Amino acid sequence: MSMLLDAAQAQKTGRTVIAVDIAEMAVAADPALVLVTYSLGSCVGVSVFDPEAGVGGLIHCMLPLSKIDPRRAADRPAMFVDTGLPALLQAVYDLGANRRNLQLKAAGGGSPLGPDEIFKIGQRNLEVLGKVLWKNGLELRAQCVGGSQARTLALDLQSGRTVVRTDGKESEL
Amino acid sequence: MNLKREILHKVHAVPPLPEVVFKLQKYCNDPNVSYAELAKVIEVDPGLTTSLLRLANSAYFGCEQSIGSVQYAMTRLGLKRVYQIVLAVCVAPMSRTPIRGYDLAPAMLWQHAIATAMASEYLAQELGGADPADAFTAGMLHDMGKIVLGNFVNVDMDKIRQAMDQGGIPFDEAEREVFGTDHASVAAALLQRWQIPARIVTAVRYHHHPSACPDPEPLLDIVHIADVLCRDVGWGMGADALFYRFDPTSATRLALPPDIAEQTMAEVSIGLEGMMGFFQTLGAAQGQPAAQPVG
Repeated sequence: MSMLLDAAQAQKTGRTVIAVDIAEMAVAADPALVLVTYSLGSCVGVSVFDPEAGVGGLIHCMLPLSKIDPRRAADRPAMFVDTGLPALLQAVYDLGANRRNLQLKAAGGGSPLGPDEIFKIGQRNLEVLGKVLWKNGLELRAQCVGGSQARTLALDLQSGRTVVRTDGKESEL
Repeated sequence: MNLKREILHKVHAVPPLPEVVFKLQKYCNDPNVSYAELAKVIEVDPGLTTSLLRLANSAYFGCEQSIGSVQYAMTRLGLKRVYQIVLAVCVAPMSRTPIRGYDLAPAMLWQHAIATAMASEYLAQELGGADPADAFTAGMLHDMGKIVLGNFVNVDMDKIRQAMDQGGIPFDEAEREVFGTDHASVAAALLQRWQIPARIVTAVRYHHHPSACPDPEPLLDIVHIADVLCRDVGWGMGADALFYRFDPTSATRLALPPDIAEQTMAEVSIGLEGMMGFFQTLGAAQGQPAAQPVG
């Protein structure tokens, strides 16, 4: 699975790695693709996959709530969890995914060491993620969240497998 | 020679900044300076002139009227802004190389530098108390110590990790345990050598631990908050990830309004996209030698 996170390796096996930047998302129904998002700190990455339809998506949200900048949220829904996740879900539905089949996984939501950090962006990103999922009647299948690590999250659109890389070590999510 | 002394000695292996940076800095606060004369100092270097004009016309630095000459850039943007841009053009090639010891991919240190510069400037504009131009410069330079530690000393990251894991301590504390110094102190030594103004050097030296500074100014607190926010987002994250402590003293001293953190992050994320594109091509245009490890 490690080859999936390496664009050059992936190309040798006929796969294409699509990098999802901060405040962006990608959806596709192409089994040749691997969606990857890097450097998740307090940001939250969410992968979604419907194995029956072969449709999947990945988003990298930076902030919890769009109310701090509604104009930017209209332009860039993926920047915020409360606008990004509904946009991601709608985009996979538009490609033929069925809500009942969705496999959702999340990584990120980290924070600096110690109890003194006042912004709590990571924690609040995870709280809002929970609320949006609850509203949509969805649950996370797996998650790798919290702590102070940086994480990379990848979704293989062929198998639906999800991998998290932390400190150079990869594990299946 | 002990490790700390060896590290501080290596500061001298980093290339000095070109003379033009010092000249601009010297005249920044001189009301009698002749822009025509000072423009010539830049114009002798065609690469630098091209880079300066491109950045002067970028969305972030630019203004509505297009800027076609160095002298006009000085009039329109102000000498401090021109100094900032020239400094960025000279420092960019050094910080765009991969920083081996810190596990920073190419351009990652630079991405963190520019993000922190923008966040610092935004906070200074919103909160007052510090000159936004100084804030930009301090934010841009705050992690330059990693160039020395990562490329010239070859940091043994395993030792740092062990110290962090065993002691449950932040990254900068682990650096001090292993090296006897940390990247913030090394950055301060480098900036002193580069003759960067003292208030900026102080902000850089204490950027992980503002409450330890005997003579703190709002500039220091602004750079601390900006660094924390940019690290949180993951702009230019290396092996040190989020393994730092937040210093609540800074937030108290600045009396941060609610939502300022999130507004700063949203603001920077948009500005950064345009800026990184500009700098990607700068190294070649500028022809500055990148920092090379010398042993």
